[in-house]
Amino acid sequence: MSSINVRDVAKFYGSQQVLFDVNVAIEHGEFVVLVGPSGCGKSTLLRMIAGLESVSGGEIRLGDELINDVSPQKRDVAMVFQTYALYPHMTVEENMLFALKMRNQSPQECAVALKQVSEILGLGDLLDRYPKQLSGGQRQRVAMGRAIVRNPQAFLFDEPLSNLDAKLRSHMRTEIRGLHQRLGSTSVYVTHDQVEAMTMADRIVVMNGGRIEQIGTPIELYDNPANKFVAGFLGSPTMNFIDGELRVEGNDAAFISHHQHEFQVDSHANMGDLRKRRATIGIRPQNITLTPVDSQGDAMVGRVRVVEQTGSETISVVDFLDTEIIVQSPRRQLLNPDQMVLVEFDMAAAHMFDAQNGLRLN
Amino acid sequence: MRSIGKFSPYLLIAPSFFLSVFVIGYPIFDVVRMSLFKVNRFGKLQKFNGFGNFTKAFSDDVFLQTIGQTAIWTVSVVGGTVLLSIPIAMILNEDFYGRSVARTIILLPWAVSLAMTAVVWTWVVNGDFGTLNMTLNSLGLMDGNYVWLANADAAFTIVILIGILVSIPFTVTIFLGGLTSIPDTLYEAAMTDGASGWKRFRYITMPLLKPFTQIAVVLNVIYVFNSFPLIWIMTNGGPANQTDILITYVYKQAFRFGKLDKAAAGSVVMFLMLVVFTILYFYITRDKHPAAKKAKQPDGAALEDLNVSKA
Amino acid sequence: MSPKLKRSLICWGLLSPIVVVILFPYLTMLSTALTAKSEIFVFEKSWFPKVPTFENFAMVWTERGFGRALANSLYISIGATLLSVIVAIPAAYAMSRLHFKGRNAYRIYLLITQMISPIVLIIGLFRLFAFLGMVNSMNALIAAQSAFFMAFAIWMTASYFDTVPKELEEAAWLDGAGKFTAFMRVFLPLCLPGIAVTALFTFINSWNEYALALTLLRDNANHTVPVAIAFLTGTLYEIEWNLIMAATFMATIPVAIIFASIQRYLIRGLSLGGVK
Repeated sequence: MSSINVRDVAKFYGSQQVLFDVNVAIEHGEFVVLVGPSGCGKSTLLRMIAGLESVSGGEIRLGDELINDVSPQKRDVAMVFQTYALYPHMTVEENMLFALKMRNQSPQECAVALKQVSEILGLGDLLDRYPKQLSGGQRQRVAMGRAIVRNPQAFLFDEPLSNLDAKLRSHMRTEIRGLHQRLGSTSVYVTHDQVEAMTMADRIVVMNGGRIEQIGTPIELYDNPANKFVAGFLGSPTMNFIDGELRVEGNDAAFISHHQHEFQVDSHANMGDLRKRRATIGIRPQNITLTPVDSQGDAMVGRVRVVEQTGSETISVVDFLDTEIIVQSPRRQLLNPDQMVLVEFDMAAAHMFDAQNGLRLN
Repeated sequence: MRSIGKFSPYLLIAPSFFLSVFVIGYPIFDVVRMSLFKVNRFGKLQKFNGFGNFTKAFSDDVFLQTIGQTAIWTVSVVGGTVLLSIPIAMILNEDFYGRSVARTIILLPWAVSLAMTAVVWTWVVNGDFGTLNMTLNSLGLMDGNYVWLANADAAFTIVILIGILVSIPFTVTIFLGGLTSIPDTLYEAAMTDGASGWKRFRYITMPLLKPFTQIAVVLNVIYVFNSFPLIWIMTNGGPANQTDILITYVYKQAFRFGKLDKAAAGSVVMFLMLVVFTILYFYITRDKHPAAKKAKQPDGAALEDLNVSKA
Repeated sequence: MSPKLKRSLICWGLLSPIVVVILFPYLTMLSTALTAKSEIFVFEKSWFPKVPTFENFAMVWTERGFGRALANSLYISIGATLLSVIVAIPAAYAMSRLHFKGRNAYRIYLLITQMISPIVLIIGLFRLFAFLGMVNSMNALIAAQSAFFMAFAIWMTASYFDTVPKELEEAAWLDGAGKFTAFMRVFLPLCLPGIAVTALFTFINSWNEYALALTLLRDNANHTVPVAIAFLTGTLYEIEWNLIMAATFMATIPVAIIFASIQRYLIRGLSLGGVK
């Protein structure tokens, strides 16, 4: 197992730049998830680590070795593809042993490795089958086995679960996580699904538009997103944003919504000396409470539009202050459409972002 | 790209490139050169002749007559082939008992050498002993024997019909490919929209087959225009050059009369005709609504996709 | 009557005229090939010979040198198939997988080679091989045919290559296989059916080719089957139709059977190699 160091990496396709100054240091044995919307460059970065894409600028190191110009077959990294890429003309056993044969391992070594891995993944009964005779979940498992059996320097996963149905996906999430804990392998995992990122990662790298937005543990990113993009990307349902103006006087700070409603905010060093600036307040659906009321006089009263019951919790969409907010209550709350509700924010959990550059202000 | 570098693309296409330059490229050069020189019957270039060979060819009545016959031959065979192939392909695209047998029979002429087809048909239409006369007589459709290939009109009609017959398999295959590419759901949607069988053909099948029709027309024109064995073996251009087309004319000039310069000029004329036809045809039938094509491309082309296409 | 039965009757009814016209010459061929010479040139003809005979087959084989022509055709067709496929595979890989300057130009170049009939160039070709002293050489014919069949072989092979997901090769590279090993161990086995179909079509094209064989092989001993048969009809003496039909039958039926067994791959729109 090795660490992976990505330093100042850039990628161009012709004159089009798709990665800018990417820096990530992946520790030995760490499970890092690259997450971002489609087109953010996460797969490109992974493929550059694999050697399937050339490096236009900067350097990538595997352990201490600079691997920019090392061909993929000499890198000793294993990859699990979104489409699994199992060799259709080989049995499960031949698929798993292909890499060992390419490295001229003896039949004895192959047999030992095969036995071990097929036990871990429960593939014992499938070894003679061909990929087309397997179910989606089984193929996924074989693809993992093919990667594990080599005992490589690092595992690369390119959206490996996106072809599975929802139930199997959550099962495989746990299983991959369990395997990682067992094998302690350095892993880089690409996904666009923030739930996968949150549940699986030691650390998450959030990417957007070819740049890294933030790196940190899932909890760090969730609690202290560095900017509005990260705040909006992680968490489900997504964070509510309300535009307005931030006024700071000494130690007092207040946020005035466009509707002239005022929220008291704790001041923070990041807010700086500016008296007034345009800003956005961010509040997660879980940090809002709704109370049914009769009157509509108060500015903090909203109108319920849609109510979704999941059984254990209630998710409501509420028209509030000229915008639309989503509220998640951790219990069954009986609300009806068109009902008036008092909206209360837990201001201690609110996030403040600069409206111009999106950076966090508290 | 570095990681793909070991298979140099130019190295990979080199064998095919050099083979075709050697066998096709050099002869093109040679034929064009010959067309501009006086050439003796042993193929020796004698003196530069400008467009002399071309004027000589165009002042030959047989050459001009042959151009007209080539036009009739090409238009009738290609037209007949395309008109017959669309309904045949549509029938073969239906689900019915014995469909694979029917497909095999329809495609059979493709498997057989044109030369052998020509030989067999020559025997079939043989005036004295051929099975065509025999069958028509026994069905009471005809009395006595007719020597089909002795009359120019009858002979030309027969080679044209056989030309259509042997072009159908390839054309039907193209259209079958086109028909299977049309999803059934389109027809189901049209049916729920109340479209009759004819309207479904007119508004779904026809427009979606258009690109396939284009390809079928262009390729068939090229093949039929250049088709040699049928006419050469069945009529040899006769009687009295009345079934000659350009390709048999050129072949005769070169290998029967030894007029290599005139034959070369004829070859160049043929090639130019094909090029002009192809360009004109694609220009006339070009997509007049390029917007429709654009709409197919996904907007906001994802960079992840870019990886795949540029890697 | 079930709807499918009804549909089948309609379909066969509509197809019957063309089916009859297609089969007519083959039935003639079979009938004549089984008829003794003495029965051919009589005016009271019938489809069925009074005494079916196989002597025509034996005679065309032993006395008319048909065996020789068959051997020539086999040599040339196998040679042309091998050469076409060998030059087509690397080119198809480049066209299907690699992006390089001039790729589109090469595509157009291949298209143009298909627009030029061998016969238009036949004077030039004849002079080329005459210059090289290769007129009457079967290898010259192999080279010539391959050049004209190559573009088709490249397109068809490339369309099979396109169906192999790129990830399979990438997986092989990451598994430690070099470019060539990955190509031989992973890529090629998946394309084998496609390459086989391409090879068979090329073989049939070569087997049936007439104009080049007629022009480049001037010596009777070098004639291919189609040329030899066509020559038999060109004699000034009495044309031995019974022998010609026997020869045609032997030359046609095996190829027709091969063709019939692979034609569905053509219709399937070359989408065979589907490996997912």
